[in-house]
Amino acid sequence: MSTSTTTVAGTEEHGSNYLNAKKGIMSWLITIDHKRIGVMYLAWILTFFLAGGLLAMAVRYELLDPQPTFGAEVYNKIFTLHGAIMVFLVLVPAIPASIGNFVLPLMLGAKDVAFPKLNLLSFYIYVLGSLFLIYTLVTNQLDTGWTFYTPYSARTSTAVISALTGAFILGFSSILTGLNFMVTVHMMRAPGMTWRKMPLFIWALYATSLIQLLATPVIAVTLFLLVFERMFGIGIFDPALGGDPVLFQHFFWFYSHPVVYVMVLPAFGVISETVTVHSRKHIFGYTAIAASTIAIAGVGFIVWGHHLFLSGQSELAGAIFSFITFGVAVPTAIKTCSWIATLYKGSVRWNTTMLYTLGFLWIFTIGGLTGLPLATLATDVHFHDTYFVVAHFHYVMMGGVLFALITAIHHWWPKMTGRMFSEKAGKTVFFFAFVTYNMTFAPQFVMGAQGMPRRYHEYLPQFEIWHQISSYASFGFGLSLVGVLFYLLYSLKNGEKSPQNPWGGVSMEWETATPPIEHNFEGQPICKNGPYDFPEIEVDPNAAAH
Amino acid sequence: MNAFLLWISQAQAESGQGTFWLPPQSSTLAEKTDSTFYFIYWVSIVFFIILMGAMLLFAVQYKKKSDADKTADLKGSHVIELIWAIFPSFLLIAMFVMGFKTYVYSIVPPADSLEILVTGKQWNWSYNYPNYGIEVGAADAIVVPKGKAVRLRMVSEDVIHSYYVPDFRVKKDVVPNRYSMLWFETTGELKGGQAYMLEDPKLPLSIRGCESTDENCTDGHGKEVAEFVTSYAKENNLPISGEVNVGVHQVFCTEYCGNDHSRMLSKVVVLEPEHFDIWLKAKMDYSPYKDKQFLGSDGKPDLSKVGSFLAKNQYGCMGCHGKSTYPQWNTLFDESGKGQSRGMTSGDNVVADYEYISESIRNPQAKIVAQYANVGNMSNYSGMPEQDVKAIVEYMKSLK
Repeated sequence: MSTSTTTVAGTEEHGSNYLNAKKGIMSWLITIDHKRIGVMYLAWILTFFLAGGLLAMAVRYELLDPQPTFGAEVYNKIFTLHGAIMVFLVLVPAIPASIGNFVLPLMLGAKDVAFPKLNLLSFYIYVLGSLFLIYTLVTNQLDTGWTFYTPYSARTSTAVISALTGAFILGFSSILTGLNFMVTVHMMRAPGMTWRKMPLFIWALYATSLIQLLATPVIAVTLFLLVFERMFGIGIFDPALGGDPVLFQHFFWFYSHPVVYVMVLPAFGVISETVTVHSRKHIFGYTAIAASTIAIAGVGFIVWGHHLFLSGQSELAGAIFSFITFGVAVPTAIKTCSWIATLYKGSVRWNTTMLYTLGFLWIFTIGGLTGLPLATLATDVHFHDTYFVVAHFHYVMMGGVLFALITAIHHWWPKMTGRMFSEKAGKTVFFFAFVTYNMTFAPQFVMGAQGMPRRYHEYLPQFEIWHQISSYASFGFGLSLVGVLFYLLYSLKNGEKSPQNPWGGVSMEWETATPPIEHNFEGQPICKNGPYDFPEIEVDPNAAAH
Repeated sequence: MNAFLLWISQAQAESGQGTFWLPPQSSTLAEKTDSTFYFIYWVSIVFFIILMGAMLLFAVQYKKKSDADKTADLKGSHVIELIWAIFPSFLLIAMFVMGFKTYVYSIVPPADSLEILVTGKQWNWSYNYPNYGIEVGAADAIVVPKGKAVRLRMVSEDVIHSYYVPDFRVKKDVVPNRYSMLWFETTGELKGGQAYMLEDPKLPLSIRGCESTDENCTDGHGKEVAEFVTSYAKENNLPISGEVNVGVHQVFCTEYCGNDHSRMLSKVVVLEPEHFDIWLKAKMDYSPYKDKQFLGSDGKPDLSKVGSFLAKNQYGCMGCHGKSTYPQWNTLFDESGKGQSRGMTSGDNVVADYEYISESIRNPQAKIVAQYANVGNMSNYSGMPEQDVKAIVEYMKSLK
């Protein structure tokens, strides 16, 4: 009985989908199929997520006690590598390079991305960059913090150059993927798919690509200058050589602020898809969401100075940056309200995907609202560089992006693998993950507001209770993510076979076979309906008469 | 709304205690910052409840019942979308304005502020009162008068640091090659001259500002300052009203600056203005060579005790040498006072004698012990008087 499924599946599906059309390890390594590249990205990213996550556990383990456990030197390397791995190797490519690569051409009704070979090149550039970071990890490590602030980074004896080279190389992967996606969206939409009929996930990926293309060169130049300074002693950022250390912060955040939208815009895109498909409702305010996506991408370029309120930049600049930063809150609020309004009078499925979607909304709302006192000048003076900031960006980046990534993996898992995961396991693990996540980061708001600074391995005993709650909860959260990985991998062999359209989606990726055939579609598909025109929607006959 | 916010921050100020969210309010700025915070806080709470309430309500009420469920044909509403785009904008602008006003207050110090120079270096803070010629070493606290504006002009000797006093709600980066400024005017009740903070025995010694060998040390900054003022007043027959009360406030470095970042701490000790004036006078007058507690049985100053004072309190040597990762002084001389040989980065062996130590104080980079090549550069003390060098060497000899 148990063997029959695999053999039957094997004979039945031979050559019928992208997973088994070609065989052997080389067929994966030199593939130019966007779906296989997306899967390879996902595997690589999740591997680094595991590494970054273990480092996070080590950070929390050190902080269980006010006294040093590993000591300053080790702790500084742990939190630096945790940040660098999570930002450069996980969060930036997390959704666009893996899920985006897999889904974007399918959603557009295209055979592949515009430049399939360039797509494979992007992947290998990413792998090359990641090797530099692995090299850093196994040799002299890094203790600058992921932000590489000068002049500390110009002076420390750790392996700054290999880490910077890695980040520099990773930047090119990001630029090329962005370019590829933009050309694909412009040139390869199926007949009938106008810009206003594009799924919102595509809008999000498009805006993301725009940022990657325009902002990433700046960080490349910055990191290059820093490598030059260290190698040849040319004074650019180190005041001992006549440089300006604050200039580095401007350059750095000119990239690194927009890049938080590279992380979070695709997350928004995922939520726009799942909140509609799993509530059987048309998205509330399609145009407003698409426009606010582009608005966030645009405004995101002119708010970097809010990281520098205390750095000695002019007070006037601080005030202007503060004001513009509030400008990001408006489109973000529009999106959140629209997603919640979409649930109204829907048919909301309480499945794993929807639970993670609701979890995302909860976490992102907290992350967004706690951004307000950080955008406000006077309160930011108090909260800057404390655990309040740590909690805020973990709510937005880690909670927001990670919950959306898990949502996306669940939503497109049947499409990618042809298997259904266990809903029961999914829902159980969700509740555990959601509770432990909030217990990990909510206490950090309190101790940060009380004055607990970032990047301390020893601390005053008044903060101990909050650190302990946070640490124990984080171990629980780590375990629940292992749980997610476990039931998903289990489903690969033992899961039920997925029907062709398990969620009743009406965007184009659900029109083809599940998993898709190698060339995505038989012939050229035509886009007939909008991405959110579900059959359950009861069209008001009076409205139709107009 | 404003009355409510005022009520919260006043209640907090009067209690002298912190709240669930914020530490005690001990400066004129703190009340203003806190009312901005509470405005944002309550707006956020209300919005959170509305948004999440709606989400949960919709998710429960419209939970899928069967495959035959029908859903509403709602594609949006320009009126509703405009409302939720425009209405919050007013609240956001209010937040910006409140934060901006308070910020402007915090960046413009009154003209008659007391100026103190702050120097940050890996990994301690030292202070200088330029109008009085007073130096406060890295092991000691900065002392300020209550109810008077104090302006800190700050600079770093190496990498970027940041000076943060949570009780005052002030923070500013301290950058090399460039002065930055912050100011505060302290408020709040002062307490009896006891060290009332940081006495937890679990606290790392370095955080308590103790030498690494002294297991019984408690943080004595407040107490030390109070006793210093009291005894000076007594000796010089200065009128002093009541007990000398102090306020002690924690200082953190909040810009990551390397290994001992979390130990780069300091204290602000607040005195009543009249006591502060005595402190200034006492500091200007003070010479450890005349201090009775450092006199030997022959009536002459005991140089090893004076040296101990100089190293800890005046020059701040113990800010680094008190920590185990730095060159240790107790291995320089043996029991008989004979200098020990040490291997230098140049490969030579040098005997630690008076000449060597004198050179290492005045020109620290001349000879570097190989073992400590990577602990960072010591500041140079080229102006240290000969008698102080002698006293410090005597102190080194007394260490075993």
